[in-house]
Amino acid sequence: MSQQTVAAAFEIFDDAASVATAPLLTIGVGVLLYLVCDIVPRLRAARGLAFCGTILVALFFELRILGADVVPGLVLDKTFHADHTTALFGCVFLLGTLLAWAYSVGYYHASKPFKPEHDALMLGAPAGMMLMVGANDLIVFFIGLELLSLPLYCLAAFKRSRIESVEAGVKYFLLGSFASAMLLYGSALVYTASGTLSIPGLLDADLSSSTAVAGLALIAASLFFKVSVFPFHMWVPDVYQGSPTPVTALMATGTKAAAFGFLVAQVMPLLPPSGAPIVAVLGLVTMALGNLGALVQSDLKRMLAYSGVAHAGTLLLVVAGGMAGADAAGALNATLYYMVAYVFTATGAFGLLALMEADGARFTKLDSLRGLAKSRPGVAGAMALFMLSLGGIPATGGFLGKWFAFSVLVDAGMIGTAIIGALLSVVALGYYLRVIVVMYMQPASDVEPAPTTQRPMTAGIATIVCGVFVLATGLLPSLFLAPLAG
Amino acid sequence: MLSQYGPILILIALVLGFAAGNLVISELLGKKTSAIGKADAYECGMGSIGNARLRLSIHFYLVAVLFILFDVESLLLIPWAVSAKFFEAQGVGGIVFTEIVGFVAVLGIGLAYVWNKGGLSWDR
Repeated sequence: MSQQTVAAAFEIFDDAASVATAPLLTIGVGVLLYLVCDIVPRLRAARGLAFCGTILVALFFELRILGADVVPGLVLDKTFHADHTTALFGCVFLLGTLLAWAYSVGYYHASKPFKPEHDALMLGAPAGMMLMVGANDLIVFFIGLELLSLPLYCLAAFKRSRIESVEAGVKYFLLGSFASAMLLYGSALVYTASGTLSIPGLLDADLSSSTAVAGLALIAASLFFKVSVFPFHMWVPDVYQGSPTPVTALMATGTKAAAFGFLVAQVMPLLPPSGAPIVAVLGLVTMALGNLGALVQSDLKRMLAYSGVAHAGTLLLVVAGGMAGADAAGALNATLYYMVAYVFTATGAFGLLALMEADGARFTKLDSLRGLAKSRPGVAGAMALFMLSLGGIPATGGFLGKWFAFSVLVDAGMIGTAIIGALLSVVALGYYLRVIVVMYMQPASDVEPAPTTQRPMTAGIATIVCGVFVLATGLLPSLFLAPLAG
Repeated sequence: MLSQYGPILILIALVLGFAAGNLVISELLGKKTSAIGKADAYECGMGSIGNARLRLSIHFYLVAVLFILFDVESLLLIPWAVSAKFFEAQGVGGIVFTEIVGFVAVLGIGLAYVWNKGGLSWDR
């Protein structure tokens, strides 16, 4: 090896690369810092500060990319890219993690000795999400996926004393590692057919051979598993219900947003247009299953899990629209907007459940919300706002998200699919509005008394932040779309 | 392109056929005896004592995982140590050394964490 090539190998980490990876490195250093704070007795009080500080510094680096006119683009030998879209995704991941953490304060009582480990694992998760949306290479995406999934496997089983939590952890781990294996196998087949794993390389390669199609199908299937699309949605209700609720909030929003980000930005252009009808049907079936499943649930966490399945179906319709010829940038922006609104809405909804569940009690039955409007008007009001946003009522982020999603379908000429999708969304209102009815119109029940808990300040702040973002995404869309236009 | 893998497919078929064929042939032709001790886990040697499903301390797993962690550390350090002079000659010795120090520091913090949490003490 000549002198120049060895030295050149180190120039891969140039200025653009350092800007692009700064948020990731911040998270890495932050996790270490958190662990140091945990083992040095004098620093133990600063653990919360270390967590928030890490997130805020990483957020600053993402905002720096978002605000800059010149984005880093493709860096590190074209394996990773950072632009306004990935930066906005990154901001959402970081805020979502911070909110989930805020709800976890005061949530754990029985297993409190391991709360620092919980926080350290949670702090590591957004690094995986950011790596996933920025990945321009299947292996880099796989590393991001594992970086996100491994902490979540542990966190899902974090309430060790509860059998549901252990079941959730085992189920998520077994099925999740199966999906990871499918991703690797698919990548191997794609590599066999094309000789490359980088997305730009694959865009130029001929992917019409049966080997390549099988590989792409496996990759799509593993992503469908992660975002819980029919027929890979079976694990969702059990895992979401069994996991500790703050973890569910992170799992439901972060994984979905990161996997859809990669799916729409990188995988969608590779999929053949002839597959669009299949994906559209999958999306519609997912929506129908999610909504009909949610209608019959009496457990709120399970209901929200099915609702998450339905939302994944809606976003899959965007993928179908993009495959069928809609503007790719438009599809990505629609996905991003939908996800921004969904992350804050779902995190808030799950967070409020966590708030009511604290003290180790299980207040996730629908009936336990009876008369909540009288006993806890603030919580009931926030819950009503989140339900309206999940249902897609105008003036909330959920409405505009759905609007942009169905616009992509219309843009692709899939009017029929859009109409069926919109009708299925109306079905969803049935169970979202039922929650509001129970809270506001039914008297408190004696069988399921309304929860009486302490109110951790962090959870209150988190709820207000979620509410503000839900309204902001509904009323001021230009705030979020402006950085993407440039 | 896939046709290149034809011989491997034939090999797989032969391997599976050989294994299955032997089982079938010995089942068909073999002499069948059933005596006390035939169904034991070990046909020769000492009789088994107790249940095989013992509860092992979780500590064994912890130690094994920690061993792998620091095993990998040394695996990465040795190639660097061997080629450090080469990097020095190429003018990138400083960068590589910094990277190695960073790597060891990360593992060092991990070790300090495990130590502090009592992961290294056997009796707890």
